[in-house]
Amino acid sequence: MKVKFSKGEKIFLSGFLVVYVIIAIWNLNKIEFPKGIGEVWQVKVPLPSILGTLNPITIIMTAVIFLLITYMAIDFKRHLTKIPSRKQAGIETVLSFVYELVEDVIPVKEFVRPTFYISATLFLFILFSNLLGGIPGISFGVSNHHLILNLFNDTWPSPTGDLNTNVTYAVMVLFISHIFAIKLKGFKTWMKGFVSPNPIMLPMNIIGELAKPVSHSLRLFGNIAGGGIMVLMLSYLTKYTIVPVVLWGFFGFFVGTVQAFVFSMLAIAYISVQLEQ
Amino acid sequence: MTDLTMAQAVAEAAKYIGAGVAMGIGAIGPGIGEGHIGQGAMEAMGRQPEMVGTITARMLLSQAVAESTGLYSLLIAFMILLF
Amino acid sequence: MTGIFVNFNGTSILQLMSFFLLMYLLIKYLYRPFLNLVDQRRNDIQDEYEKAEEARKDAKESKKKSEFQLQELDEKISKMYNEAKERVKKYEESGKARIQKEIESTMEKARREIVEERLRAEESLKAKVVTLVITLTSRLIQKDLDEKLKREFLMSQLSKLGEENEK
Repeated sequence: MKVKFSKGEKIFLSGFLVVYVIIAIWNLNKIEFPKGIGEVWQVKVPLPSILGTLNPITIIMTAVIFLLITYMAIDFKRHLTKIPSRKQAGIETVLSFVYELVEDVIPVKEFVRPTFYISATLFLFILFSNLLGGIPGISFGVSNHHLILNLFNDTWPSPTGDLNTNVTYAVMVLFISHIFAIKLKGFKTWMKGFVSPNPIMLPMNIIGELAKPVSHSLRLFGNIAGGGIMVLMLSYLTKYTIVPVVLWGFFGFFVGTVQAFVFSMLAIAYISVQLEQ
Repeated sequence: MTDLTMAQAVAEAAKYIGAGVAMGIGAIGPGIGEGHIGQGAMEAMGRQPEMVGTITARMLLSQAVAESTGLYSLLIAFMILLF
Repeated sequence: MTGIFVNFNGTSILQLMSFFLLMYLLIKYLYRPFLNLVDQRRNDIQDEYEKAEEARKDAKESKKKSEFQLQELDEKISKMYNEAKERVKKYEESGKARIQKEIESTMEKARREIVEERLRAEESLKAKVVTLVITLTSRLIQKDLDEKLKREFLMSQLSKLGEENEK
């Protein structure tokens, strides 16, 4: 591929590069190791035990993504036409992709739509929050019990980088799959599933069921949170020169999309396993 | 750094060693697993060149699943290092 | 207040609530319209497809029909052509025959006329000869003619007769 630049573009690009290098050299000794890495801001509310603490950043970002997705949905419904516009075609592509996935995997027809609702919502929410985790913006850190605002040295804090979100969703998927199973098979048949080969396998089955949400949630959390910390450390080591852009792109967009897909795919798979007779 | 007792110094050193070992050994499994997945995908692509798009998507999906154990060890390494 | 990044607390309840609220809103604004649209589109496409299939079938049938008609028309035309040819042939033949007949008839007529003419001529000659003979005899009887006169008179009468006969 051959790229042609006009004269003005060449001047702009070379000027940009010179300024970039000058700022990088000027910053060389000023960049410190980011404070409060691996720590999150928490707020106490008058509620018993672990319910009493909240992560305000996660809540704020969840609200932001909530509003974004809701706005997108309302916009979709308002401009709904039979011959789709470009935006509508994009949303339809994503949704029909998820729907076909669900239709292929779920064996019972009456559970296709609820599973589609759950998995598509999971996919959209996680995709949006992961993509937000690939865009540099305002991030919050805590040091010495003071809140500090970091501008553009890290990406927006994504809700999936908080274990609460992932564990909640994974456990929810587990519960939903078992509720669907009870609805489909009846309580007795469902209970028989736990002692299926023989009663000795009961603890193994229960552990297997409990291990599902753990791996399900920690996969996403490890990718987003671990990737975020790794990017922060590598950015510090390279003094925020060129490398963080590539890493933000990789961890935010590529890994984010793949992990959102994996999470919703596994949710569908867990539900379909419970629905098999 | 100067006013560390012997026990504290050993604990600090063990932390770094532990983090390194956790990350290093934890990366072996996913590495082998992803290699196997890549091998299978390449063989499938060689056998059926018209299915390249589908196979690549499935390969990335299964590699993302196989990678998760490596990410657990990354998390553990961070937790050892930072706290 | 700070905590480590691996934590589990009351945020999870808010996340759960927000998830269900989001799901409710998305079902209302995104999924239901989307699925309805897809169903509607599928139905429309099916209808159109069926219509197109029917139209194609119709077209095929009409094509077959028209081909059949064309063939029939062709056959008719060739039949008519042959008939016309035959008729022309017949007509020609009949015309020839008629002409021949006419010719023959005219010829016969002419022949008959000739014969009649001849008969008439013969009759008239006979009559003339008879009158001549009668006159001659009457002259011979009535008048006394010398031989010379007789001969002259006879000769003139005979030449007259020959002239009349020639006519």
